[in-house]
Amino acid sequence: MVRWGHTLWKTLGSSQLAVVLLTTLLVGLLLAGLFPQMPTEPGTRETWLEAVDLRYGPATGLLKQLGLFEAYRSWWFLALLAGLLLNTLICTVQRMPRLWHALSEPPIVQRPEAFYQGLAHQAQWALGSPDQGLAAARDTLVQHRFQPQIEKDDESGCAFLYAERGRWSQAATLVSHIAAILLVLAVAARPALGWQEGNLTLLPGEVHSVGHGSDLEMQAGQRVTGRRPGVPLGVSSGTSAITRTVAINHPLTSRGVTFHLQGYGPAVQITAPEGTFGAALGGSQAQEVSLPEAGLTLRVAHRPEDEALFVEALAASGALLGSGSVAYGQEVEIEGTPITFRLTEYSVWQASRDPTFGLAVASAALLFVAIVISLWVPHRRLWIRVDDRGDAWMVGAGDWAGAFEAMATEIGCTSHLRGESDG
Amino acid sequence: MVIVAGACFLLAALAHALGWRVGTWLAAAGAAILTGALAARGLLAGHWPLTSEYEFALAFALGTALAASVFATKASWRIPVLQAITMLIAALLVAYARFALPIAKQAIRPLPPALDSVWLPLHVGTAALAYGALALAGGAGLAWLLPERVSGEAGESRQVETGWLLDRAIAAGFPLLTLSMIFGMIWAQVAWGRYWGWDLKEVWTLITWLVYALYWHVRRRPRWQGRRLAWLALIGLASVLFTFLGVGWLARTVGLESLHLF
Repeated sequence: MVRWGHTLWKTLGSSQLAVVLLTTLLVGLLLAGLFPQMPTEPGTRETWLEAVDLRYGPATGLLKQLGLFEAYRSWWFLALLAGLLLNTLICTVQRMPRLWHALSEPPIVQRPEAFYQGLAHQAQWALGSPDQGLAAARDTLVQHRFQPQIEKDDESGCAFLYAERGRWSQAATLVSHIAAILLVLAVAARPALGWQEGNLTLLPGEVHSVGHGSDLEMQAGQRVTGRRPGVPLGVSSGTSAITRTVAINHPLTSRGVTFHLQGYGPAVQITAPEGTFGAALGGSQAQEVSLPEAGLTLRVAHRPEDEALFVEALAASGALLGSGSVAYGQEVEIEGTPITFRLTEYSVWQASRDPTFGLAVASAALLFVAIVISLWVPHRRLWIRVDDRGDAWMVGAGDWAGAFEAMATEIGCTSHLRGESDG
Repeated sequence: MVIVAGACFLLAALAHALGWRVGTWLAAAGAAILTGALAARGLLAGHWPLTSEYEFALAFALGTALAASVFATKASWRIPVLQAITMLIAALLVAYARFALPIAKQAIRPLPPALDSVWLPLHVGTAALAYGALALAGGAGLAWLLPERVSGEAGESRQVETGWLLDRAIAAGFPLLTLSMIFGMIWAQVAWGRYWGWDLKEVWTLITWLVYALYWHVRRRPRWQGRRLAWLALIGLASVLFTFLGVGWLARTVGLESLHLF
């Protein structure tokens, strides 16, 4: 039972499993990338599903069951991510003691003769003067940013040199794993800790309560033109208020809530005795505005050909009372109610709060640094043993990637090299 | 100027294939001319020349030529067959930009508000450099796999050197790709209020990143040395090319949407 548990523990943290999971995730992403993904905004799903039904016909049901229209929220995708996360976590835990030992323990300089037979990188040569030879080797290694140590065993008459570089780069893989775990956790926690509300259409002067537990209110102004067109946005909370022109790519952040300008377009402002109403005129379809006190419903649409507004007036029963073009700024009387139509502009906003962003960027930056270190700062170790006759053996361990032979030659080795091809 | 730069790359590829040293100079000349062409375009447009498929194809070609030039600074790193393949990739990218894209797509356009950001040169510029280094790695993969009679060079020592270059090219390209993605996530947060949205381009960039993450995991494993790593570098290059060229096609063919299609 213990052995079985040990094997499972080893397998769950193995890099072989990581390779399998990464490959499977790649295949999953390739598959998911072939299908349109269901929008997350409520109210748009039905229309979207109808369009998908038309496109995929009888296969729609099967594709839906396989979760391919919600691939990144599907059970198989989340299971894959969870598996990869678990594998990375266990691998990190498994490596931690060994890494701690490698980083904290002082190196063993004096190694027995048998040790020099066991390593992949080996070199052998004869030194005329052992002391001078080792000192020259030490100087060469220092030039290559190694940290050499020399010890002498008086009993056997042997001299030893140990040199190491890139000791801390051993931690890079571990740091990259921790960074990757934090990054995935940040992305996973985003829907729970943050929120996003888009398509907030505001007319100039209109006030909107942000909600989501916040007492912020937002009020958009008239669009300003210039090098960077934008819309002034006022955000207030109690007695404090902030106003700034917000443009695409230049949002406004107040009390952790970020306001993005998503777009703008023509709108009509309708002024009646009972109040002011507005409607966006972006599309070709007429927009409906209700005037409850007057018992009227107005259908309005912009007519670009004569820069006028086409208005249909309907009674509360739905009966058409009349229709016609109205010039902007003109006051008309409908069923005894004076109404003025003014052309203005609406702006569309998105309000969002994302407390995970800082963690995501920090962990991604940490991942980047760890990748650079692991790829560019190799951990290399080297031992030299010189016996009392002046015969020297040199062995290397770590990430030499073809550099051992050049190093041995530079130190003065003239014969018996092996183990270069295995990196 | 762009056609001249492309011709230089093509001639450099030919020269390298024939073992002529003039190939290195032709490649450098092509890179210098292309840099000048992109700089002039940027000055004329009044913004970084990294805003359209045409401009990115040229920046990608420049990144590839630069990567090849950097790795050709040392004599032992000059592997003619690899340099020929890499310069051919750069020439094909220029040819794609100049001859495959419609004229309307090649014209200088005013900067759309969505691209008016300090993150544009950081995100797209590092992506072009990353793609260049990864194209060199893919070229090294292909050079490794080529039989001796095609490459015309001795087998084992060429493969050791090509394998080493492949590894160093990915060691340059993979962190640059990661950096480009980090810049991209910050820009996405600023522009759209979300740093990751499973957009088609984002997904394909993640696929590319995962291919190189896989390489990172297996690069020192004895079983993976040689042929398998060469294939992985080639798959990585295919993924890079699809992320750049194929995502738009996929979106049109399958009817998908992406915020990254300009």
